Amino acid sequence: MLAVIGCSPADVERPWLEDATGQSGIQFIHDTGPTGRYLVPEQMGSGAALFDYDNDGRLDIYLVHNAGTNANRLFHQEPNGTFKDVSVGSGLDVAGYGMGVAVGDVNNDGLPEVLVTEYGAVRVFINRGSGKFMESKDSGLDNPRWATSAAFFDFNRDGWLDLVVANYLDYDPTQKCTDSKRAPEFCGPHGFPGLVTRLFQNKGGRFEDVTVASGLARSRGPALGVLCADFDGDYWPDIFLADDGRPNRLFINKRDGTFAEEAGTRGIALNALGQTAGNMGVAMGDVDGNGLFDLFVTHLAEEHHALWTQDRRGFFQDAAAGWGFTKQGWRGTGFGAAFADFDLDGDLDLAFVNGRVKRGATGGPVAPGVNPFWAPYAQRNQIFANQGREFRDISSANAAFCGQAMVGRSLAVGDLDNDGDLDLVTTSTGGPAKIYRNTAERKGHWLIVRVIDPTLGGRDAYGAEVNVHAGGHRHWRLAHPAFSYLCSNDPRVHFGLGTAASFDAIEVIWPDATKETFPGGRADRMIELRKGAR
Amino acid sequence: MRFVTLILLVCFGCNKYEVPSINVDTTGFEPIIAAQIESAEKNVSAAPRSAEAWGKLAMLLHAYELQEQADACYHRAAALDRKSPRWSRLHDALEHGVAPAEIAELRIGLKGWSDEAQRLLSARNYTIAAPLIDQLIKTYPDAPESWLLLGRWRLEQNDCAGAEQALRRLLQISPDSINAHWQLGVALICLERYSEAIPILQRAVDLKPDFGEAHFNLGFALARSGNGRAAIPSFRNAIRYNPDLIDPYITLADLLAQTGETRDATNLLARVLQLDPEDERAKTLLRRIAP
Repeated sequence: MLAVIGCSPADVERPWLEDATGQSGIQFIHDTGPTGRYLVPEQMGSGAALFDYDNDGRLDIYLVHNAGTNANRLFHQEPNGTFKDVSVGSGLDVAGYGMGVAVGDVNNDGLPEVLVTEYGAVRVFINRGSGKFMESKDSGLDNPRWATSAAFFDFNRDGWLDLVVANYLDYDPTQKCTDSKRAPEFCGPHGFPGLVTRLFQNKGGRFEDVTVASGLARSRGPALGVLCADFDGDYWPDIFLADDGRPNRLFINKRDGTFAEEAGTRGIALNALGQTAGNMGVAMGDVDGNGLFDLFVTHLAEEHHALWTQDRRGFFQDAAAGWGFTKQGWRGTGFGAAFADFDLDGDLDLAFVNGRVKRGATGGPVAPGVNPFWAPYAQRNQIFANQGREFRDISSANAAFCGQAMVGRSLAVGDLDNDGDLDLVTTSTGGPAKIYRNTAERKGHWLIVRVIDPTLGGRDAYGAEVNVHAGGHRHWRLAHPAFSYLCSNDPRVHFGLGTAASFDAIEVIWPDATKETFPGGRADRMIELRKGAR
Repeated sequence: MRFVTLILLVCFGCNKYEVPSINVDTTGFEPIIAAQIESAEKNVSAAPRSAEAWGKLAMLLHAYELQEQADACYHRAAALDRKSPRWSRLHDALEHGVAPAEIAELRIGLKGWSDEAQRLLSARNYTIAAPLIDQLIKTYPDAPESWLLLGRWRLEQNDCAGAEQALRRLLQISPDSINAHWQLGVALICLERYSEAIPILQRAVDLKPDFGEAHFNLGFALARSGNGRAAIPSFRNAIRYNPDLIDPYITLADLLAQTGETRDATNLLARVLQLDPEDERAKTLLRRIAP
């Protein structure tokens, strides 16, 4: 028997991801405008959206620039799986100081709209069909601050998608910062006040600012990540905000149009040591299979990433140490993050992108296409395998995803090629957007579920909780595309089912809290569940 | 440019650790910092078997983010004094990019002192901040940081005339500083020189149109100088950019109530009570408007 000394099983396993950018047709180098001004918004990156804007069953991609002059790009996925740049004339080919993207059908016509957050604005683009979008000038959305991540969700359960916009810093561009040798460097967040996150209520296709009335204006913070989900188990969506260098905020929906901030009492404001950290990207999923979702938030390299697990509904504990995140050898400054069952073994793995906020060693070769100015900020990505009660860093076995350094910012996840496993799209500040196709050895079966409400124009039922019962396990997912950092992910939910070749039933808790159980069937397919179809 | 090379040629009892060669490049550092590092290096040269000397040098290099050299010096200190956990602990902090308080307080020079003064002001530790700011002004009279900190300190001490002096000096050095304009405007309001404050605050909001606090101060100065109508858009801007600031709602509501626009005023006060249900000013004003 030949022993492979020094190689663990994960090291010899087939890589989970391959870089498919070249053959995908996506050519996109993120533009931050002229370098050397050291304006903080330039370095925070821009997002990506994976969404099917023309309902042809294939995910398309929208990528955002931050230069102020270079137009954002829309790529349509062709039947052969390649992407075609259809930006010109789409209406989404707009320039600005772009940050994030949120996708949602705000007028319930079955076509997803696009919201772009910018430094100083938010802009909503109405989907007119046939690949054409038109910017709405009377949407009622006014957010003249530094908007970052945003999410559409129905906070009052009236069937119309409302909008939460995370705002970051009250930034002063004339304030300059230096490193210890007095060379210009990007300022950190601590010298600037945080901002109020805004909530807009959708009143039949037009929005009204309810930030003050809802109670969100009662606390400021430098929010980068946002996640809307039912944290306390009352079937009303709450709002989690990942605040950079400050305690996180969790606004619990009081079911009367108001929210109360309860991050501290629910254990999710601070890390296990009771410290604040540079909270940035947010990944959410049930990592321990106990039927309750957990939260992973990326932090600076000098901090530990946090994994808040939920053992009692609504209450969280930072279990990063127990899950192996404090003993990992190398850490980067993490931004976009996602849980995904890459190898279909039935539990959720984790991927995130890294990129410095201060100059330093890259720890590896810098990817081609990264602007030399940004090279000292580049870091390699990381991927972790869920091994039951611990995550294991398998980055060294995944050179395509983790081998080259970029200034990683956004990470979006979705099944780009509809083959039943999850692929990734990443963005980097001043560098290339990348497409990574899943090549992992399949250790089980899969199911992809799209949940639709026909009474709401056939739009995706954002906020629906989907439980698949298979092989004696219950697999929980939230149908919501807004998580990670600055991005919108595949709105469908993906399940790795392990050895279960079929599922027994699917239970859906719809956003209005009604429950519906759909019959079982064979695995390894995509299904569409329509509310009320049973 | 100055390179100091410390090569230890002796074998120190031929322990298994490689003898480090430390190349400290102090290019770009202020002379005062370079001298600080040089002094620590001299201590190492004078006592090459002193863990303390190596550790102190490591700490300094750590403080100024000379990671590689700090790493080698910590190693050396830990090898020379295996019993003390201090050097390993600090080395661990270095590896994780953390600068504990004992490291941060070694930083001197403009950045070191101004960062520390800022921290002290934020912590309202005015007694310790004062001599530090004084030292900054004496050592770096041409640095904007020095005058901004002095202006802020004086404002927080209610020394508005002193603040004005410092902030005017700052504007000579840094004519486009948003903070300088805003703080000077605040100082002038404090001195009840409203008409002088108006153009200064107008400049602040021209430089940073989303500056909610400055819009409020501008509105306040306009209103106090007898130009209530002109103040209204400034208060509305303050609310638009910072919907959590209570003062603009109340001042605007008061202004509107005086001109008979009670409905608008009542709505604004209702929003104040949504922000803070206990706000007595809003309650009193509401009672006055709609008894």
